Amino acid sequence: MSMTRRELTKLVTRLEAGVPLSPELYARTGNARILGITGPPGVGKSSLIDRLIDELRRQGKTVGVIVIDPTSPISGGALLGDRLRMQRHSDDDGVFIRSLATRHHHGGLTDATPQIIHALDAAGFDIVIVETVGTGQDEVEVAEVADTVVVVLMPELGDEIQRAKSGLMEIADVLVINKSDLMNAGAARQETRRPKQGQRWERPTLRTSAKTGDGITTLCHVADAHHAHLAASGQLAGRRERAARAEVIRLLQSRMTASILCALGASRPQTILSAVAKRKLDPYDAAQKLWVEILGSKNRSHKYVATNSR
Amino acid sequence: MKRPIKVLIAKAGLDGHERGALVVAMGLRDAGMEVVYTGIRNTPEQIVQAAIQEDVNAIGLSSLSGGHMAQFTRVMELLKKEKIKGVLVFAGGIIPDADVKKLKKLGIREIFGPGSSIASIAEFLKKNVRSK
Amino acid sequence: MTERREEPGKFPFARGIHATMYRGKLWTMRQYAGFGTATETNKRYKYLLSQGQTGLSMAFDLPTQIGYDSDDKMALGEVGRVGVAISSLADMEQVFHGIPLDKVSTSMTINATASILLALYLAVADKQGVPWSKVSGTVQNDILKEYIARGTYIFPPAPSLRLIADIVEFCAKEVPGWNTISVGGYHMREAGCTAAQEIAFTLADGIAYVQTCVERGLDVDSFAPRIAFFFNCHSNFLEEIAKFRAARRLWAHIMRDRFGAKNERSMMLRFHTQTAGSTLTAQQPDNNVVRTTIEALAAVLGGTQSLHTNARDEAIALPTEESALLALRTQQIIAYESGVTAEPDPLGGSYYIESLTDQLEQQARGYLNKIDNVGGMLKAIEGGYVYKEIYRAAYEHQKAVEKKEKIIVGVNEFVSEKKLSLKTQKIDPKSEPRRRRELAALRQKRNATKVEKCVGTLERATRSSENLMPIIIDCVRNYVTVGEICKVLRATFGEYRPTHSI
Repeated sequence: MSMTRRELTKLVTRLEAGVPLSPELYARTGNARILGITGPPGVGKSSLIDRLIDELRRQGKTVGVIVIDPTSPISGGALLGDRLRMQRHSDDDGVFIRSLATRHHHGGLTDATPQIIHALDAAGFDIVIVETVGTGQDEVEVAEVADTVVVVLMPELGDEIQRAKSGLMEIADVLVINKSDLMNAGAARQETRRPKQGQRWERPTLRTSAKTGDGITTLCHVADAHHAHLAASGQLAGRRERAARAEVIRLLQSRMTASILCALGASRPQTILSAVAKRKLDPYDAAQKLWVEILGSKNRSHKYVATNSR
Repeated sequence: MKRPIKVLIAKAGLDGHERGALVVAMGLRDAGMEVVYTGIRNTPEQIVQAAIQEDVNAIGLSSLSGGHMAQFTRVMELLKKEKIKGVLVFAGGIIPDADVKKLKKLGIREIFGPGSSIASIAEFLKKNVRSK
Repeated sequence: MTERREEPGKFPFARGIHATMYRGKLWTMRQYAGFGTATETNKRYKYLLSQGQTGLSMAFDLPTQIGYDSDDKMALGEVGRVGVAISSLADMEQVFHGIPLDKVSTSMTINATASILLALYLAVADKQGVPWSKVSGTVQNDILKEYIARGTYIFPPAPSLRLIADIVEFCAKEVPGWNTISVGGYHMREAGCTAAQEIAFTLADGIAYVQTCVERGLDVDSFAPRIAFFFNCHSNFLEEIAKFRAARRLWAHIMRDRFGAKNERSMMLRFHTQTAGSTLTAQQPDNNVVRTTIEALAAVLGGTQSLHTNARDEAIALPTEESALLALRTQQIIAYESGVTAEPDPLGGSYYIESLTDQLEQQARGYLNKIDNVGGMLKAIEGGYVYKEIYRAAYEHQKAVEKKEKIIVGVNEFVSEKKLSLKTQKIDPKSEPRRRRELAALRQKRNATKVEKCVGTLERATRSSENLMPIIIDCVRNYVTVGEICKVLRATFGEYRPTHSI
């Protein structure tokens, strides 16, 4: 490993706080395989990762894990409980687990997740696993950062599957029906087996049981196969390009949002906003006006930033 | 944005009584902190490694089985060995007065016995955690 | 309130399982004790028996409960802390030295390793020349609540249930006086659940055990009379009395209607009670004597078969001999001076008690239905339902206390500045290294060939469906240790990992 765990952990904290990764470190990334794990709540994502770590360690691979839990919208606090299920790997030198709170980011990850993945990559981990927050909403953002997306479901999840089908199924490279020990029929398999359209990768549906360990080895093999498929078909480069593009766009978006919010604090935009409230101006016209005022002229938008930020 | 205080709550040793640790974990979350909860049966090594990987500001240890002297001492030794500074360690559980003094000497900043309010623990952390 | 005329000693036993109750026989006064070494525990037992205690209740340290010998590295700091450390037959012989096993009944708080500790007890009986037919006692042997609240599990649920059924089946044939399961609600209540949840979750565990044994092909009436229960007695006096009544009525119906029991003894819910440790405060510890008295009285009015009263210093440390004695005296005063023993179910017919009983029964039924709907208690536990319910209730309680919606005297109201300190029981820190030396010597001294042979037999048996009890007894007789036996079982059965969270 090219940095100590103390250095890595401090680096992650800085990234979480919005400090960017150094170009030197970024240059060292691109070697780790990124595995995204997503799915509705209660399907056993963390327990599955616990078992995956076992298997990957047996293969001699080092594993970095990012697990995400929601921030409470009321208190701003978070209970990060996923680690509990993998805590036995804590004192393994080849494993590094970090829990993150969403801090109000939507989409399944956190603001800094892409950067933290880079950090673990730069630190030399062979595999980086990212577990999304798992609150049951569409958490498709993971597809922007992962090479392989594993969508985890469980048997007897009727409604959840229906809901998940819309968003999650589209991003699944591998579908896992966990808790197969509870399964009494092939119903769940039938229900969820639908090949991804327009691609040559025939998305497999696997059964696993984090409880008994059944199916974990197969899952690892399938993930390997998927990665090999991406590499051989040239899609890996495409995915990484997409990931880079998404990351940069996201950074642009947050900058723009920040500067817009900043600019709105000035007195003229305030007048426009209150005109909307008083029904003297409609929202679309207001947005158009502000768009021109704030972003239409580079100089002026800079001026707003300069006067309002410190 | 200022980073919320991040706390690790763990039970050392074999003791399985989780109520206190869990209630404190939930309470600190509601006090606006990010709480990593690692459940029961943690070895001192696992606790210290988790604290490093999570880069927490504070570690809360809970024990109701009387094994605290051996286990908490080991946690403090390991923190020292790993040269971890600036992480506040506090504890809770059934801990006799005589041991409280010894544990404080080891560097455990505060011991919250039965009947302690979560509000008092949260206040203590807010006051004493060195923000990063 | 439904119009009903229930009588003590008659189905559904809401008013008690005996027609005469304490006029016929007082409850068993059974103080949970055991700490440090076998020698110290032996001394405390002899003392308690000499003071009029009528049954022994054995507390084990956590390594013993979780299947590690005292010299295992997992045992660090825990040896002899919350109970006595038992690693081999030598320790068990020492605990009962000079205590003939046909003259006492012994209740052991042991779950994951229950079959091994029972085997050790029976091996001691052999050594004393006491036939198993004259031995009586209880193993807690209730693993399900460990997954929820107390945490001394080792193996996953399925092999754990097999071990439990092995004990039930073995004792039905060989040790007829043994109570094979004590289904406990105590710890779930300590963890924070409500009275209605305590009834429901306890009975749901009981249903799971009965179901397991029935599925093994045992006749329900052959083992059900030997299943007992273990409840908490909390501070809400009237609610607790009603709780015991409601639990008895529900269980009687479950056994008759769900399992088709014919023998009335199968339908009778017999139980041990312990006053609530979680109501004890470290502040003003003498107040705990009063709390315990009120709780103990509720248990007696609720018709308990045996009782443990907590000592005032248990929120601070293990009880001293002095406070343990005061706790026993508390029971004796209720039994011999208060007069409440004159009439079975003396509060029966009180409007409030009867309607509370009905209410709790209804609420508990609601939870039982929910558990049935998710596919039974095993699934409810593994899915995290029970865990979440309990810790949510615990957190609500804490918030209520902090907002002073609930008053705890001496803690959030009527606080005194003066700190009252108690003398506390101390565990000798040198005993852990001493135990390590003793065990090393034992491993040298015993017959290695026999040990190897027994362990091999056990290893093979774990992979079959053979009853493990006789094989474990053979192991312990040859001084195979608790840790060594568990190592074999761990290898075959695997270890349980919690999958639920908050």
